[in-house]
Amino acid sequence: MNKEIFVDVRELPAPEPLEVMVNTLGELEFGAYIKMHHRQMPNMLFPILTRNGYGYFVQKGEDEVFVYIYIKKDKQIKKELEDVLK
Amino acid sequence: MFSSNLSLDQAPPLSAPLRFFLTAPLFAIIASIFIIVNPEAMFMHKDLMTIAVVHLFTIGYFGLIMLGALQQMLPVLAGVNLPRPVVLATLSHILMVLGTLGLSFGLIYFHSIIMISSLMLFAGFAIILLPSLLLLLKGDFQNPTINGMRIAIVFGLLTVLLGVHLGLSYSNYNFSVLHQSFVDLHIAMGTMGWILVLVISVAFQVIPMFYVTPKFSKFCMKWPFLIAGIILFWGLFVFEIFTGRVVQIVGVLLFVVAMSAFASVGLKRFTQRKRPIADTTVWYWRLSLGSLLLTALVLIAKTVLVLDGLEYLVGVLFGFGFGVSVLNGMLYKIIPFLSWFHLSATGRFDIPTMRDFLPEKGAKRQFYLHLVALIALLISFFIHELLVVAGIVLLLSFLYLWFNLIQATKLYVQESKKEPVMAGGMSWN
Ligand code: HEM
Repeated sequence: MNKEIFVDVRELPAPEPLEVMVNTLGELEFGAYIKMHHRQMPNMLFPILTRNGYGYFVQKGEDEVFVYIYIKKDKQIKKELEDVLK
Repeated sequence: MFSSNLSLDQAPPLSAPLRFFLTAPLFAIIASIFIIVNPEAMFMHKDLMTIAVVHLFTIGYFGLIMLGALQQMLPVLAGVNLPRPVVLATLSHILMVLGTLGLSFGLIYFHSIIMISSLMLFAGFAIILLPSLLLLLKGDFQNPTINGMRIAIVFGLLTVLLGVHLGLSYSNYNFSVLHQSFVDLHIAMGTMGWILVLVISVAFQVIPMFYVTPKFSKFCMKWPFLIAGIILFWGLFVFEIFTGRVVQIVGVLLFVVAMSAFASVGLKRFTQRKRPIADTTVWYWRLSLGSLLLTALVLIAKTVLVLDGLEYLVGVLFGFGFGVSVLNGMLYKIIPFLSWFHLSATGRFDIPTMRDFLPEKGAKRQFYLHLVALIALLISFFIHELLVVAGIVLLLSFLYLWFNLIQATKLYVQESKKEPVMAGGMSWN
């Protein structure tokens, strides 16, 4: 897949990661998704996503978290992500 | 992998925590006026005026701000929310405000209202602390911040319960033989168990997160448990189950080690930042941790060298230098963040940046006033006449802080009245 917008916010002090993510959401279009790399679970991002029509998947490691964000109505991307992340 | 479109959608409405943050400075302002009006009392730690000032800070300032912050931290840390956040916040806030005013004015002027005020305070604390504790008890037992918060909340509730007992004694001027033991336990639980453990647990999370520093080590994460152990040991001493001077010195030294260990590691973390941009909140943290180290030194002098009359210094260094500084730093992070967050969660992307809510210039000037107030309070220990001046600077520093917070809130209110403008990619919504 080459429709990935990759954002690494691991080195940003909170709450900058959130600010960056909100700005990146504006760039997201149908057929694409955002992959966010963070140090910790971005709990404050989730309500912003759900309230504004985005869906997401979370992959959690020992000291890092990946969040995959897609437009909720974009069933195609959702399915592709589900298949890859399984 | 999991998809967690669960219940995270209910971060508490801004009004729930904000009312606590905006009223807390008013109690510090009243306390400053008490100090200006009756400075000599501050050097006598059993004076009712002093006890009133102590509680305007410990309950009115620290208590209110931490009750507000807890509501906000639960979803971030543990992914849980208090049920009916606005109802709980409204009830607790009213009880805390009336209770704090009642206790402080009651101690000085009308003893008849001390009892009812103490009970109101107990209810005010419990309404937020009990449900928070229950929620936290369900959660992750590996997370050091959550573990520390559980301990702090238990000690907070016990402190307030003991406070109700003390309040009762003062309301009818009938003191039990064990009165001093209860007072000593109340102080130890309140300062070490509630305030210190809470700040330490929050620091585990907040310092690495806000300032991109290395995490605290596994060993540090055990501090809250160790401090809880030391308080239990201290409890046995104050109730004379363990007796003797050696026990007393060991107890105090253990507290001193805990405080200095946390303060030194914390200060070191601030030298290990990946992007060392110094904003005012960094200076507040440094001042706070530095004051904690000094508190430890004064406690050693007081106990080991048996120097009397140092309560004033301990109070100023721990309460104002450590406690108020860390809270001010937290307020300056939390308020711009929450204002921004609640605006952006409405789907508007044309909003002010977080900086706009609290310009660095205003925060920095207020910090300088705070610093001058601390230095003046310390010098007043040697020159009592100076305390009036220190009190005036203190008053100004809290007025300025309050002004900063009100400005941020005004901007939020102004912005939240604007029509939501969907950003380009959002039109499918
Ligand atoms: C319902 C709430 C509370 C009530 C009614 C209350 C009541 C009292 C009373 C009556 C005393 C004077 C005891 C004496 O020396 O004879 C006292 C002392 C003290 N309390 Fe509280 N308290 C409450 C909550 C707290 C909290 C939450 C803290 C947090 C740290 C705290 C910290 C202190 C300290 C440091 C002293 C010593 C003051 C001094 O000796 O000058 N109290 N409290």
